[in-house]
Amino acid sequence: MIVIRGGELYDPAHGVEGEARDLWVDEGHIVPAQATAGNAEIMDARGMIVAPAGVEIHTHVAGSGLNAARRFLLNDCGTLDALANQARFAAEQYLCLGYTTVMDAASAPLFARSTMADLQQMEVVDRGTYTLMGDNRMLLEALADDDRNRIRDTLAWLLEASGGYAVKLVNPGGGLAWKSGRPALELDEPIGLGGLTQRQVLYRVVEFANELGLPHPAHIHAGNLGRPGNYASFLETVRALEGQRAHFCHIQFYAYGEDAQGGYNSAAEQVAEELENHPDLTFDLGQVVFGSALAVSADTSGLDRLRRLTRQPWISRQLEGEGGMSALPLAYRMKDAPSAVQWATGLELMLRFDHPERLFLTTDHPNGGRFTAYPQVIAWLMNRATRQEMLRHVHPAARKATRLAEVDREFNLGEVFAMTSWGPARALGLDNRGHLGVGAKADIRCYRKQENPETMFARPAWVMRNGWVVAREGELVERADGEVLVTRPAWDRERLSRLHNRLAELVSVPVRQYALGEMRIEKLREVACKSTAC
Amino acid sequence: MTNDLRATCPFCSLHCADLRLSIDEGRLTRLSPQCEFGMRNYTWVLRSIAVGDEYSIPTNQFTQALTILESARRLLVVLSADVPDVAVEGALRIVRKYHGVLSVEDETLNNLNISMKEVGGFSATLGELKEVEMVFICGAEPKHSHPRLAEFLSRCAIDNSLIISPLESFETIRQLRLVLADETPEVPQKYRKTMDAMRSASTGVIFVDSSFLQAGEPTARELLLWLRDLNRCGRWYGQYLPIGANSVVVAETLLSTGGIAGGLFSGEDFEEISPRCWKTSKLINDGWMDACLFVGNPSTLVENFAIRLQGVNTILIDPIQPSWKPAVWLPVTQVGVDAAGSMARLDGVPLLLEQFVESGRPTIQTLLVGLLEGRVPS
Repeated sequence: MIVIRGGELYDPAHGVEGEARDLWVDEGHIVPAQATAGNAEIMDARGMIVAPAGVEIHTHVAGSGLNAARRFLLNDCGTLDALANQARFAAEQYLCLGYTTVMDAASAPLFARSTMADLQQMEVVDRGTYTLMGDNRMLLEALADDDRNRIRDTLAWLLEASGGYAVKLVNPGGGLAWKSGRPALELDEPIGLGGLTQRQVLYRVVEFANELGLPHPAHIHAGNLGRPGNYASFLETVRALEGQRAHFCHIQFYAYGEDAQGGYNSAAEQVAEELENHPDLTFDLGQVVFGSALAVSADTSGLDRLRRLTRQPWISRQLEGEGGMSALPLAYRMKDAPSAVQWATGLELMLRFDHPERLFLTTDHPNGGRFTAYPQVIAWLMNRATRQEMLRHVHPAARKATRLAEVDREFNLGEVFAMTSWGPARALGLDNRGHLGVGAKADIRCYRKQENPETMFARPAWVMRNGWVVAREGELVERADGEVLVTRPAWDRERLSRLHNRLAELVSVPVRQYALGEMRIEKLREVACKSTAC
Repeated sequence: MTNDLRATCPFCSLHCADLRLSIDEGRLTRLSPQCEFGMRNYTWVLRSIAVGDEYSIPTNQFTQALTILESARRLLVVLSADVPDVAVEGALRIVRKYHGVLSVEDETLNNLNISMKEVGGFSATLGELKEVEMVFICGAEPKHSHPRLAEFLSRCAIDNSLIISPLESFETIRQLRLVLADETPEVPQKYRKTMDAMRSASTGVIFVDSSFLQAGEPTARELLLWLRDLNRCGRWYGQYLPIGANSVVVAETLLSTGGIAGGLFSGEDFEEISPRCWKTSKLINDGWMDACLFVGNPSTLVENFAIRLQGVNTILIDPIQPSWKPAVWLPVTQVGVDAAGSMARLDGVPLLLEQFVESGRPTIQTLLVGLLEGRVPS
């Protein structure tokens, strides 16, 4: 038994905002307050801030795409470590920042074993990955045939075979269209399989993911990422779901208007206003931070466009029957107009949206920049003066093309913990994380109060996982094994031989070797599905 | 009695997974589909296993290996491409314990890595290649090095194919590249048909093997520039074709687990050696190390490296007895024959290779743990 004594508790799930209280922990969970401490270990947290540990909902720290991208950075050790650190060290960095759950955002089934090998290295945190399906030929064929049972079973089988936690859609059908020479796919344009359109793929996959009761709904990377003027098509994509539960990732990259010269301006206000109308959707930000970045994505057409614009070398790996995986080195510079507008648009969007429990802090690491910059982003959100000071230093386009300078809102600590703990945990369906209620996992972070939020958030005084202090003052002190989180929705296993027969026609690897094959996942934790199907 | 079984081949980077082997009293009697390269290697390994007792590790050899490691002042650990990925972790631990440096042995990979940083890379899984209209093969004829790849390609639409020999590589590729930009008005007669086809093809693939890339970094860069330019007007893929297993993936596994690739891990005593992309050849040619631990089959090393390695205390961990004379040879299992393990195909797709024979030889990881802990593996 542990008593965390007298800390100022922040627990947005329960409306607790800085109340000085004791928190009781036993056997890895938060327990009701006891009458006496008895032999309990006392941890003095008086004058300190105590909150649920961070939950990362969207990052790229594992898998073949990142492995390939690392080759760009071989002679640049600093950037390599900041953007594409070894999976093990990335996990340790997350833990030392106060995050105990980390979700890698994209893994193709063909390369599932390589993603899982990286996830196995990340043992200090609980972790998982989302399975790429938006260009999966077998799923698209089932959708084109409108075969309900086959859609459901293919989706569930792909998740199980790949050790995935959720369904990931990246510009669905865009890879198929790109390979046939059509770089930009519109929502109602046929993707190349009969009359099947991206709108239909999105709607149906989201529908089936929800019907299967996946704890995290379909995780969507929409089309037209990063294009000036893309906010209209993004909002059209949001409306295409017609009120179904889903998650849209790195939405800063879709909040752009277009000026007369074809450049960026901010459409954060319009986007924030529309998103208010969709209470069943959650989002993460994809904030840009200045410095080096690395585009790593299954959105081949998006990265193809970006590499033409930036004239940077890229790595493009196309996968049979599954789309592709690409990488491209980037840099966001303070004195560069597009970078400055992107930076300001992200902050404006976050500040204009009133529900931090539905819009979460991410940098889409390493696409928008490194995740270790979270404390800096939090400081910008919490302090208007800090933002204004930054605006004076970045390219003037940030003032002209966005309305960030006019936004007075400052996040409070409760909102910070809502967007980094409670919100993402709830969106992931991890009911026992992200809050400090009785029964929750004792994944807790504690900060010394400081004037400067960046300094404070950069180094928690301690981080607890499963009731053990695992990091102190930014240093790992204990290695407690985390779990690999997966979901395994029910499906009709009678269909397996038919799935395998089609798979054998589509891919050049033996069916028994596809995805994880017979690879065993160490420390696996299956998170239950709550199917809504009859 | 003949035993028929299915297997995934460990001997070249295709890792054909549809093999059927017939084994009679430990001898391979039939391999289907036919592949001379696979037949030769399976026969060799199975014969080695059949010898039996020769492969238990003599205590004195193991002790000598430990002595070499402990007395080394400058230890170079080299990972060959055909090691299973679990060997990477073990090799890293040895490097850390003995403050050594670690490298992937495939020299050509360095050239590719350095060039790719400027130009980028384009590749595809094997199944994607069925759709290509044209194939260039830069280096050795795959009928010899990867027989079943040649068979695969022959089934694809490759009427307009060209094999470019390493000897003529740089200038030929340069001409092929410049013709895309209409910068070479005089196209050599022998390439005219190919160049016309290349300009009109919408998709194609360029295979490049290690003999080609050993020509050096400028050639690798020219190749990647060519590939980049081809991709301005069509969809072209590039595939590196290592002789053995996939060194690119071994390097990427190293990056993922150790923070390096095709280069060095700098132990505490060697901080001055960063950055992380040094060449094995440079270290060997400069006589940098006084001991070397070579893990895997060194067959893809440039020939004279082995001779140079004989001049230092070299420990070789490999299933097959070498033709040269390292100070110590420690035999281990062959993944895909007498051990199971994961390896990657030339397109990076990870495959699990199953064990089908019991040999009693230690696995690479068992042996590495033994060296770390100072005890002979049981």
